[in-house]
Amino acid sequence: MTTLERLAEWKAVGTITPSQHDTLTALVRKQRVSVHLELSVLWYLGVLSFVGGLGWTMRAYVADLGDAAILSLLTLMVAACFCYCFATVAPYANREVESPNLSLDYVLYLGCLVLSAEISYLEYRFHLFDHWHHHLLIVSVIFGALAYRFDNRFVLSLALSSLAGWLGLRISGFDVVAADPLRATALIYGGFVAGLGAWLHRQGIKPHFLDVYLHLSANVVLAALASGIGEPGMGLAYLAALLSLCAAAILLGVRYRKFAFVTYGILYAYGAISYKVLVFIDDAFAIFWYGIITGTLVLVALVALARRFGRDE
Amino acid sequence: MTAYRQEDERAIRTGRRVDDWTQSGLLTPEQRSVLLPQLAVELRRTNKFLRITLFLFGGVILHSALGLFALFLSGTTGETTAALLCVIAGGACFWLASQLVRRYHLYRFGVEEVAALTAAGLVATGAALFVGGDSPLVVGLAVAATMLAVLFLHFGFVYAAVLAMVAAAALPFQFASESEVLPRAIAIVVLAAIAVMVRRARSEYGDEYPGDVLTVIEACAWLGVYLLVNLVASGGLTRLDRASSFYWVTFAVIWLLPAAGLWWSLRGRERPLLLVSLVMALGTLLSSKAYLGAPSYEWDPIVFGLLLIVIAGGVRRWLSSGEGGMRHGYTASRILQSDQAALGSLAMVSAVHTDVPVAPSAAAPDSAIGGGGRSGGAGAGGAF
Repeated sequence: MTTLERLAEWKAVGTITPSQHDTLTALVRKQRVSVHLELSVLWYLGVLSFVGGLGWTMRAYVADLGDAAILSLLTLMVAACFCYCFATVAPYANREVESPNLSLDYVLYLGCLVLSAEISYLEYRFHLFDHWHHHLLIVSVIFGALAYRFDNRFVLSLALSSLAGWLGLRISGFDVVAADPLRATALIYGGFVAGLGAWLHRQGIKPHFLDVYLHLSANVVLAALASGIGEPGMGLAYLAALLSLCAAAILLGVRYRKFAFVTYGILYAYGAISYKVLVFIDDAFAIFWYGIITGTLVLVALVALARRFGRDE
Repeated sequence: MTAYRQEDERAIRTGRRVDDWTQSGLLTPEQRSVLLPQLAVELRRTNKFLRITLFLFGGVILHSALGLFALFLSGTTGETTAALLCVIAGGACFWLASQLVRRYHLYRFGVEEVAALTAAGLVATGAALFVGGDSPLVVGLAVAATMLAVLFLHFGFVYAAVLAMVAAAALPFQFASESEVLPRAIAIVVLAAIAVMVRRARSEYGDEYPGDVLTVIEACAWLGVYLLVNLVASGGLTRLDRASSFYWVTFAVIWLLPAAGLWWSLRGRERPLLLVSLVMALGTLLSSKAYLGAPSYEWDPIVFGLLLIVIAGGVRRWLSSGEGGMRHGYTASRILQSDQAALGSLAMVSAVHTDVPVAPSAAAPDSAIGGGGRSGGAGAGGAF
């Protein structure tokens, strides 16, 4: 039975109204097609490409253009973007607010990225903050406020990653060069982000943003702990902390039906335990047996979980 | 013969639509709770996160078992026996995948998928080992393409069909040929033939299963054709020879393909093909300078970005100014929640996007500040 046949049947027995039937039939027959996603991706790529090119051009021509010209141009662009956004935006509400038009989200994103570039340029040229990256804290606060005002997840991600930058963390990757203090910073950052997200959620302020906070903080904290399990001395402490948090991620993920966190918990825990165990095993037979036995244990648990929750997400 | 009934496949897809319509406010939760039981199937499914995890751990078990088996036999078997054992193990994996579907009614559950894919890999490896000599890769790829196509036909895994096309397109490059054009041309013809055949096959189904699946495969086949035609994008396969007429023919075709794709997809309202056509168009814009041998400038990304913004903004305005915010059935407004969810994922990923470079490293006393892009995005320095 096709979807159209089912819709007709549901209408005939009165499960859906004639108006709903017409709307849904138009969607299934593609009499009404949204290209919102495609246009959004074009906007996003366009903004990223534009700002990337802006940065490279400034780097290449800073001597020719001069500070005044560069800063004036950037200020004009930021002002134009924000003027458009504030003139277009709908009134603030704590609940999710749909943008009045598609352009608004990405013009705001563009304005934020250009503002970020401008403040970084100011710091780079004039050392306003004596080489410490306080400009990242400033942009983080500004972006955070704008993300909430305009209900924009892209800008919220920017705010959180800028905050990480201020603390000296790089979210875009981690090579295991650094040290306990940086891990401690990552843990504090992760805890702060998760706590802030949870608090705002409890206050009912843009509760749909919670996922952004939790995904970011879970990955930062788990990755920070995982990077420390090979450290002499503190390795076991990191392992214990990692396993505790993985257990928490799995339990809370199951409880709140957020299965991405279950996956994080399982993968980080399995990776960490395997790393610790396989260090002591140099026999190929034993390694394969380890894979079979532990893999089966995890698989059995996962199947039980999957059977219990079906397709819930 | 397929492992799943067409009725079940269609019910699953309608169920997904009902979920999406409910989340989009087009149906009420009460209506959903009445409709979904009517769409229930006797198949065990799971969400995408558990599916990925099950796939990974299924893979750990299977590959550990195969490794153990290989270790037991190492040194005691010749190449022919090893080939035979690979084929037998592949058959066993396929049987396992089939049993998981038949007896336990698994549907996109991860475990049966990894078993089926391992089967394809083992049979292809066995065939390659069996032939040996100069052409193991040719045989391996041919068998892999066949096995993956079988997996698609039997289990309906779309990615298996896409991998089968990749293997089939890689085949012509394995034959020794003096011409650099011939293998590429054969691969293009193979993929184009697949695209045309799939297009014909799906015409009778429209958007209902299996028409929706075939649309994705057709779009991927056209993308493959484009990548092979675009000598800059797939420059690693053969060297670029600007003096040849083939080079300039391909330059013309990389403009024609996206245009044709856009026309087809907009006319037929086929979103997978529309997305692929956009990717092709972006690829053409990005590779044109390299094609022409023109120098690149720092401001090229600005021009490219502006072009995308103008196109996206212009199309949105044009569509929005139509009657009811729509023109020819297209709207720039979001209708379904699934689109919003996809954008939410993109926003999440944007937290780890690359840094924004801002200032010259030469003039800086400390090149770590500003030079590497401490701004916005994921700026800053340390690593843990």
